[in-house]
Amino acid sequence: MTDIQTIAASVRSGQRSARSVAEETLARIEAGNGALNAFTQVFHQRALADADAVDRSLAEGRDPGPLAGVPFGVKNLFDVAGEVTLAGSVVNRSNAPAAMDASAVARLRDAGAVLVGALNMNEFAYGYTTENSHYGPTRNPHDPTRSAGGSSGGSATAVAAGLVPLALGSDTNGSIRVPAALCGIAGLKPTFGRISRAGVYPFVASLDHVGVFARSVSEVALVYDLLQGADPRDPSCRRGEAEPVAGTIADGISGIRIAVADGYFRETVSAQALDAVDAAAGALGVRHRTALPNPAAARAAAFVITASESGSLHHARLRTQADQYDPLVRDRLIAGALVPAHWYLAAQRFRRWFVDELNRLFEQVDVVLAPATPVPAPPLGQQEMSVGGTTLPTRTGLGLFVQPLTLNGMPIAVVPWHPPGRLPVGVQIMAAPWREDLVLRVAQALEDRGFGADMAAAERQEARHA
Amino acid sequence: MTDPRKASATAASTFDAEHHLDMMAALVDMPVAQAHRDGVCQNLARIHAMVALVLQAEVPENTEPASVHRP
Repeated sequence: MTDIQTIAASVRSGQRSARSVAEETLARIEAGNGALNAFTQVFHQRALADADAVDRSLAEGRDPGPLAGVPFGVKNLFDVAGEVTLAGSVVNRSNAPAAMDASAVARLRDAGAVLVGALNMNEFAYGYTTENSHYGPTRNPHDPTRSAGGSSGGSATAVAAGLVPLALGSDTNGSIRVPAALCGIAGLKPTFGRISRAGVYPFVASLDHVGVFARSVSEVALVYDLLQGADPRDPSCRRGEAEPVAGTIADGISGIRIAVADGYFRETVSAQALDAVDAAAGALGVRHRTALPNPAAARAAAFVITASESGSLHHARLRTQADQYDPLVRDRLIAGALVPAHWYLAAQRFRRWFVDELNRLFEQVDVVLAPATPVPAPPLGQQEMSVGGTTLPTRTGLGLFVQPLTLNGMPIAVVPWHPPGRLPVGVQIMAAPWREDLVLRVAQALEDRGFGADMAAAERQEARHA
Repeated sequence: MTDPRKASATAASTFDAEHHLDMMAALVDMPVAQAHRDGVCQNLARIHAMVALVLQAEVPENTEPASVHRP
């Protein structure tokens, strides 16, 4: 798969047409999607029409945008004008088609990107494995018997398998970070409010984020910059100017105080996931460790807030259409609808404390590294997993290290670590809210030191030439 | 001195998910099919265990809920 910058440059220079890129992409999806189940819908006609519009712009001397002809897919909770937004459900099938694109989709199309399809997810984004009883499981391209992670598993698999170079996802409790890690690609959950959520089917209003998947950090940064900016359609979206970062990611890490998350993040974790963090620390010359404030309670608070807000959101439909929900999601949502206000507010009080404590921590360090998941991709259908002698339910245990870190809305990138012959895992790179610049500089530094989607392939190639 | 707000929800051993389901489902008008009760109760027990962790955390009494999220 060619990278985003190369595709756009070749289209913008007239070296190739956007239509030929779209046709190749659609053919690749046709050939590869059956085994992976990443796409739930492919927009053949729309994609070709958009590609033709890009080609027409160029022929008429107009600038088609920095993503000219770049194919992309979106998790199927993003509104696409004229299509019903499924959000992984069947209960949404009777909804009216979206009147307009989600703001994030519109920004990419305005930049010349070509939307080719919608991608599989856990129903209503509630889960970490993309095992969907209505649309089937999405498979991990590194081992199709294993989970792609979730809930944005279709997005991660589509990029990791080379079906598209770019996909959008959402992250409420780790739904970008877990699949990016398990599929071995780069992912970014920006600061809460940085990217508009207008036209994105909600899950947990106070925790939902929109983010990006691509194979490299520079591609993620390029697209992140284009997605930024105020949006009156999303009341949570930050007002004010965009703060582009793509021009600074190669500035290196000199002056950035980096630490490794200690305690909780080094306890219930596999050797490989820990190796990844230690390898990252070694590559960056980091020796300092820091303890985050009560991550176990932070995870618990996120769990309770998630249950309550999502249960409330679905309350009306659960009363009459419960049988149309994915059974595991249904039971979680009903339980969430029965959470008393006292429990919810206790979680939100803890959250305020956690935000303040983390802000204090980020006065001492700039960036913290932590494992993304306790283990590499588990087998599909696995109910429980063993991690260092502890048994965890797979469906929630995959969120052990991501769920606590959503609570304060800070930006977090995932960079994969994928040694040859092993499944990929990921390293989370987090910084204070609004400091995506630091997160992506460190992510780029890791990629420069051998981390990244092509790590296994690069090492195999080096071994062949040795 | 024990914070009275904590005492009400940290007694995990006394939590009766079936009872909670019946009371809250009636309050919020949420019919729960017989076939769904076990799954819902399991989830309620999980949520309650999480609430206990939250309530055990040392949070100053004057901490406001983060109902308006400002990262």
